[in-house]
Amino acid sequence: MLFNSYQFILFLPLVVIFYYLLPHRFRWILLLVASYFFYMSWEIRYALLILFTTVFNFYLAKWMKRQESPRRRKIGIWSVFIVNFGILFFFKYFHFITDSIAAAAIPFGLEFKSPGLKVLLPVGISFYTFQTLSYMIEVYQKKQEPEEHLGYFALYVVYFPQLVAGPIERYNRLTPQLKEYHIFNFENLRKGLLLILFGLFVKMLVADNLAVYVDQIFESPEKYQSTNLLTAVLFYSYQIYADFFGYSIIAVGAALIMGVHLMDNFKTPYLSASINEFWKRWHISLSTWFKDYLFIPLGGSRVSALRLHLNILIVFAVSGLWHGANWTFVIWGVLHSLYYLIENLLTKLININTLVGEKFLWIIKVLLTFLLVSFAWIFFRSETIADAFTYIQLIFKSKTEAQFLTPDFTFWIYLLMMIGLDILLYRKRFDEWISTKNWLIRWIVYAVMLYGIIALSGVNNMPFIYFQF
Amino acid sequence: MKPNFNYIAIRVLALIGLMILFNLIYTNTTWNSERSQHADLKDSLDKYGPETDILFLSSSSNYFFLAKDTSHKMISEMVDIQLPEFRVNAIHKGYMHAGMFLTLLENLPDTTNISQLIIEMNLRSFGPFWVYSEVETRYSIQQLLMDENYPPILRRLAFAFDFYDNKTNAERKKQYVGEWKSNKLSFPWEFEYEYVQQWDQALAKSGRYLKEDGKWDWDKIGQACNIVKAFGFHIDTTSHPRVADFDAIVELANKRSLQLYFVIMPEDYEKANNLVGKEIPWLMDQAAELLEKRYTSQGVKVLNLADLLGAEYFYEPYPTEHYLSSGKKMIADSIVVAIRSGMNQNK
Repeated sequence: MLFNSYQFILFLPLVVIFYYLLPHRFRWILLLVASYFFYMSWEIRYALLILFTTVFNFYLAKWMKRQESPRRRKIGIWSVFIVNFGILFFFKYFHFITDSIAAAAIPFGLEFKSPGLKVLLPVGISFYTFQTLSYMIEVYQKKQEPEEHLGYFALYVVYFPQLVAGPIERYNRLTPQLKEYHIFNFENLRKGLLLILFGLFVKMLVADNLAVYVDQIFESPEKYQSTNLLTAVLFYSYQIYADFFGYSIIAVGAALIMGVHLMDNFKTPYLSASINEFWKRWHISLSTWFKDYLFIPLGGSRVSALRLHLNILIVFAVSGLWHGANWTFVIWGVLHSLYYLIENLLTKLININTLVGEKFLWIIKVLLTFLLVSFAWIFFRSETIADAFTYIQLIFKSKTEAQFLTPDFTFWIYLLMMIGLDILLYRKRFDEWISTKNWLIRWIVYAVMLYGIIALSGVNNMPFIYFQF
Repeated sequence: MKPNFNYIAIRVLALIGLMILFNLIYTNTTWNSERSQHADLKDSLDKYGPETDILFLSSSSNYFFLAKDTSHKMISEMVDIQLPEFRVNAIHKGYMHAGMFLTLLENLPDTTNISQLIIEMNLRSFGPFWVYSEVETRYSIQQLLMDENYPPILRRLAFAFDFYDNKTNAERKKQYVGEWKSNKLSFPWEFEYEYVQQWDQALAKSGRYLKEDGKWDWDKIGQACNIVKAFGFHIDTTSHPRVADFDAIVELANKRSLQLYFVIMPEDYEKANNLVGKEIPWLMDQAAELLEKRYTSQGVKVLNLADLLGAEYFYEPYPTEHYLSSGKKMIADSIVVAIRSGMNQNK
């Protein structure tokens, strides 16, 4: 059940109506059933997997709390890692690992066939695994009391607005809100609906339309001229942003209607003046997860310079791998780590603030950051590393017989619209920004968005890109 | 803020007003090009509807030809030449089936000159592989966009939010494989396989088809398996979607006083018998006879041409209804004879 499907448009109001009609003590049951129903609309069997993860982690957390001996607690947390990562690895990385081993063995004269297991990747497995792990680590570190109510814990794992593509919420932020008694609040409804409208607009109008051009070029880059390839990279940068941002903001809106405030996952990332800033604005829930549960345990920044660089490299590489079982994602992550390290080094060495004006410098930095991020997206979007390098090669020198594929002029309009929205929303979220406008501007914006969603949206049935992760 | 009745009513009215405005803008801007792109069959109907006496509705069997063939004429063109007193035109598309024929007929303008309909009845289209075919999504979109009961903006809204039979290829595959696993086959004689999937797998592993050098003939194995999957079914008239579509077509044709001809298209009985055995021709016969009987009793002229052509009339080794021009000619001749006889009866 995609957010941009009629099923969800019917499902959400039904859940909301029953949510407010039911007495508080029954609401968690409704949300849990609704969340499982939502998840099972993809594949019924994988609900069992999520159920197992839930029950296992719930009882193990309680067991860990009872243990006085650090050794036993360590056994507990290692069991958590083995089981949760084991499931994630089996469903997501099994083929990647066996294929990689098979490929690595060839130079040594060893040849074996990777076992062809037919397993479907459960939707959102990386998201709910990481969400669950954050809770388990906090319990292990005694920063979090284990949940005593299996129902609420299950709801934390599967809460439907953010189940399949985040934001990855922390237990102490989400569950108290789920337990809280919410009375119907018209302002929450209004803001939630506005966010859903806005999310659908960027996903369906911007992402889904740009995807048409991007897919065509990336499918056979050798057929097209360099300018087309560059345009496709530019479009892809905004496609993936609009797609994921759109999804996240719909999730925030859907939860807000029921009184739950989810975290903002994006804050105009393409207006970042550095890679460092980009990662504070892009997929914030994942970046902070990696910071809290990988970077800091690795020693954080209180280590030697060499170790710090290594930590950064590890965090970005793992973050890349989190996205998908492919070396292209790893390279994408490593590229970002290199950007990050070089940027840190240059910042220490050169003080260019004195060379040019502040605003002008900001624009240059934003453009440069955008260029670097866009370049890395080539790896993210390509099927293989070889494809990515071919693509880059073709950008510099396209084939003589390459043709020019003129993008529909409306794509440029959608792109400019997205850039414009980013600038407008640099300091405020859409619901806050629109609330400051007079009724005429508000209704013009609503009308444009509604028309865009209904009449101009892409119709090639594009699922959300981040669902595959 | 606590909204009162007026607050909500004003907004609801504003939304309705906006939708009316959107419909006006959309209908006069992108609607036609979008409909042409996603519902091209409607364009065909608009194009041929006014200048046609006999409309031929079919899948690719009407038009498919190989360049090397002596004639590239379609079956409908051959019929047209032999019936100079009528204007015969065809609307055809690969994997088209009764569900889509019905939608087209529902969209026939009241002012049309069409008086007779020749409709392909393709036996394979009753099999799960076709019923749950991966092109169904595209046909569902066509059906949605042609639904004149709703204004264009509402159809576009439904399109944008996937309000049609929108399944992925994997989901479709699951459906037809599910049927192959669960639909029980029965024969008047003992047969070792109860389900298509069993039968198909057994054929694939049997080593029954060998080349001269003693190696397995994978081409023949592939063909045999395809034949089993294409024709290994019984038609349950109480629940089959295509039967329901044909029933609705009959009803609609009766309402509009259109003369109906259902043509059960030829299948390659010979190859089925040689490669798989007598079971497949028996299943084909069962299906063809059932359809012939059912629709003849409803007043339709049914041409059962299922076994009209030998293996030499088929273009491809795999099960299709793609015929050599000589085969097409034989089908066209049969149709012409049926139409002429119908005319004589009506005199």
